[in-house]
Amino acid sequence: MNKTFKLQFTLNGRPTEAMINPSARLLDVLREDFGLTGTKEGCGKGECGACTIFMDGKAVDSCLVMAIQAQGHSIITIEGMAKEGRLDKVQEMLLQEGSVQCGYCIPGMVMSARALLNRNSNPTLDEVKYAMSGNLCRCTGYHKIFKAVLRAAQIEREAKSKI
Amino acid sequence: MSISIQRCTSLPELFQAIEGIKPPIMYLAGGTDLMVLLKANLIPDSAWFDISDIPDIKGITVKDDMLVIGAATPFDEIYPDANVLKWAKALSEAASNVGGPQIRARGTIGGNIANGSPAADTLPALASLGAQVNLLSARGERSVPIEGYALGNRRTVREADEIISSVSIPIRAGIKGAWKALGARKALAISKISLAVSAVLEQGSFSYLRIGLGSVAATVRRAPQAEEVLLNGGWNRETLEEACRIIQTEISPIDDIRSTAEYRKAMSGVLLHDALISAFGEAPTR
Repeated sequence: MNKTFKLQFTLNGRPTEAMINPSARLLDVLREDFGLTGTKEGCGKGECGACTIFMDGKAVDSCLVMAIQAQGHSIITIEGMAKEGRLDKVQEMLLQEGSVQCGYCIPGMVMSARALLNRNSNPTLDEVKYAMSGNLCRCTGYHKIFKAVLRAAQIEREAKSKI
Repeated sequence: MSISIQRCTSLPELFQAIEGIKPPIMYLAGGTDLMVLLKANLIPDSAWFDISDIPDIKGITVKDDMLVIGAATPFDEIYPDANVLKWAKALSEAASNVGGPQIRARGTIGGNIANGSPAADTLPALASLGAQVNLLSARGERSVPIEGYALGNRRTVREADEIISSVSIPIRAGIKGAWKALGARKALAISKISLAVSAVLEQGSFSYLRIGLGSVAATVRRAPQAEEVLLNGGWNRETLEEACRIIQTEISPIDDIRSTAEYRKAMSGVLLHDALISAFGEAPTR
């Protein structure tokens, strides 16, 4: 691969640069150049959400973004979710609720849920469904995933009201 | 398959970069159509130019009785915008239903038009609103009505050196609208049929009314006979019933992988009924 493009961006909060193949997808650069294999490829055409990451705080499918389009932008992957060794509240609740079966869709689910809770701390079940309608899970039937997201929101609201 | 790609962050930079480049040229914005074709190996050897970070073709403004939406504005910035909700309700509803959240965060209105698909969700809404597509190149600027933009499935009037810079929607006082579609599921399904209506109703009569339809012909189309019934007869139970009947006879959809001609015809009447009632908040009272 001819790595002729100098990509400069913020990756999981850190200013980062690397020489990359200019015609590579962001998904491939994250996984192969940076070793961030938590982001999964499912369908590769924007229908399953397994490759969901944050681009400037919005949940996007990294299979549909060219790596050079990340130039100057902030990218956060599932590896950037845990802070100081502590899981994000969404991750914690997915574990507690037993929401995970094979787990392949879960990194994408976490990103979409976090994107929702960052802009809406008190979502309804319908709002959770709308925000996560771009993420497919073939194991769980979604019920426990939605429950975990609603619980994460509730716990975060309660924590905030105590401060 | 081989592609080259260059990132451009201003219009002068773009027009300089494409000078002398042999087509096919691909303009990459949100990537929600192009990247899918790339993955499926359906893209010819081509020169790609990334236009997703050109500020001049992003954002929503109101000027001179026109609502102007930059071509590289993503759907999730269009549907909740106060001016779009007020002056282009049908477009807001269409934009809020494109793909899923991740697609709406990247996919753009310009790309939805440029792709040239008759199933593009925003096209019926734009047709109902009488929108203009603004094209820009180093040679200058021109505008075409949305209904004249596509010549057939995936064939459009855009020249290789032109980009879509924006769409302009005339502002009409009191305009209401709605967009309805049917697909295999709510999110991430290409519509079997979509329909939009935009109208101004004054004391029981329509001073403006247009109906746009998607996935029923090779390009977006209007429903002139159904429009005429409502424009001539006003808003009442009889015209509603007649418009929903006649629309089924004036379209000629085809059977394809997503649906059948028969289903599409039948549903055009149902969607028109639902869209009109949704636009005005209630069924006609007389």
